[in-house]
Amino acid sequence: MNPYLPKPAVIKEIHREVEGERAIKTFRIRPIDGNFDFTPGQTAMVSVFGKGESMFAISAYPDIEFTVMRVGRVTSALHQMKKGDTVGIRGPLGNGFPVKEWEGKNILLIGGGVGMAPLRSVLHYILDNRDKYGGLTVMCGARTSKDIIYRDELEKLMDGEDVWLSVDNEEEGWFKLNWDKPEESQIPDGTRKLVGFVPMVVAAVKPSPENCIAVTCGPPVMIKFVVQNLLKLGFKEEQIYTTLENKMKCGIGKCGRCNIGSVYVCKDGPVFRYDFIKKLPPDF
Amino acid sequence: MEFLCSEEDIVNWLASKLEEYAVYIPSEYGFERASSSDELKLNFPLPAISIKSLFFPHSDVLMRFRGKEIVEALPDEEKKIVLTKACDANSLKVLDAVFLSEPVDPYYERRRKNTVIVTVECEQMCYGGFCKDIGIEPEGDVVIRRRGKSYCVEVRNSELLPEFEKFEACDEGAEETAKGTKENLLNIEWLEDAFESEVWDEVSRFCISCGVCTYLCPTCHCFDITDSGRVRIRTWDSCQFPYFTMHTSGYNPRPEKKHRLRNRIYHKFSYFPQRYGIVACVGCGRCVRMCPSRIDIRELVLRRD
Repeated sequence: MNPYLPKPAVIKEIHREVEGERAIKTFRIRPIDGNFDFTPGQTAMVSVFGKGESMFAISAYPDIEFTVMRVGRVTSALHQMKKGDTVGIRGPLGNGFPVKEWEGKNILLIGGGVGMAPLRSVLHYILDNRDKYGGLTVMCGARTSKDIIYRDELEKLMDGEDVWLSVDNEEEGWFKLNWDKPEESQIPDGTRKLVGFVPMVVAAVKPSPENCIAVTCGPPVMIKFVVQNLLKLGFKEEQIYTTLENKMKCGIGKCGRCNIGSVYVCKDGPVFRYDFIKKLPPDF
Repeated sequence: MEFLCSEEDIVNWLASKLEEYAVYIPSEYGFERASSSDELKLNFPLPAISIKSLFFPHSDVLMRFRGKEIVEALPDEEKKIVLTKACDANSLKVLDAVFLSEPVDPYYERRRKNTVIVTVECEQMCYGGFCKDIGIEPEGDVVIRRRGKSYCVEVRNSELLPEFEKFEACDEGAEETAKGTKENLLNIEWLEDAFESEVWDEVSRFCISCGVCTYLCPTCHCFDITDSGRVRIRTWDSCQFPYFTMHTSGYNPRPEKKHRLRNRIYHKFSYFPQRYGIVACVGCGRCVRMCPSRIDIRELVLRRD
């Protein structure tokens, strides 16, 4: 088995998540040989032949989907592709979330921007195995309501689960949190759409740490303050998981660029528990 | 088993292998394939380009794309005999740890598997080298040490023993005194508490980020993978370049020279030992000799009395 060799896969569906300069699309793909078993939170290299390959979180379960922002050479080429086109897929790579260990627990998913992508694979997995888990809370924020990925899906989910959406700037119909003391915000009953940065949403909604696993993904500065606020609510470091990202090429712990200390994010990660992350050298 | 041979005996043995094996011998530049016995000798230089180029070349085609088809481009297997010095022979332990651990790198593995390493011990350290200072001992299938006008040939690969049994055995007592013992000067414990030290600023100040230290280093193995037309290639890369770690977003976890130089030293002397149990430096001194800015790794990792 050559670990560098992608296998051909066909784009089955393309969903536009966000329009504009930094457009985001979700691609559903299927390897031609049909084989691709993965755990939520794992990643894969997607090839556009002749352009290169890039690492993405798998953003669904059990379907294979990638939510891709158009920023570089490979992602721009991907955004030009159509349903039925062929790409390459290499993986799954990395460790994934320990979803089996979490059975019986309450799950709190906190995503910011395109960082919601890896969390959606956990979300799908839990919804598929709903009876094995306790309460489910989802908090998903973005700059504006147009930037919220999977918005339709999350709004539908509000009927049955505890789902919170948030935006950074004021918008009509969205409840503004107390900017100075978010923990003192009086959120009206039934309101699920908030104005405030994601860490403020955590402080305002006050999820209980009791028998709970919190998983957060998003920009580094968001993660930092989300974790601070979770710790303030009484979450222990061992209850908090996140994913790290770095520039990657090989995806198998050899090419040397994604290391943080002796850890390779591509192979040993991207999922890490917060107490482990704290022990890494501050090199990310 | 150790045998007493003349240089002619050893050259004749190598010459007898020229048909079955590709025999590589170092030149000033790099490892060259010998085409006749005239090119075989035991006093060869330490080449600028290290042994890694034989197994992990500076650029390598990984695969080709033909329409929707992906065609694997594995190198041909080649039976090799490689004449080398102790430093480069030891560097293979580091490269093996990376490329032969799971998942095995098939490009490296193909080139590496049918290789006989013949190591000729240096009588003294070269300018800039510090192999003996950090306890590097000769490694290989055959290790050759000078003994007066002859050579003591230690055959470690038992499959090769029959080819040397016609020679007289080496006197082992004399061998011990010849080897001697030297104090290990490796001084890396201070790294445990030096991540935020000012030393990285000071040492990297005059670095020009040329990457020579990494390209010439026999243990540095960082690489890039890029598509060039319908071909996907792997090329040597360097952790000393700012783009090496830069995210597409523009964020860079190692934006400054001090971060990159620090990572190179920690990778070799802290991260690699944590992961694979060995230091990823063999004291060959190439980075010391060839750095245009005269950055000297010995000042960071050797005890100075």
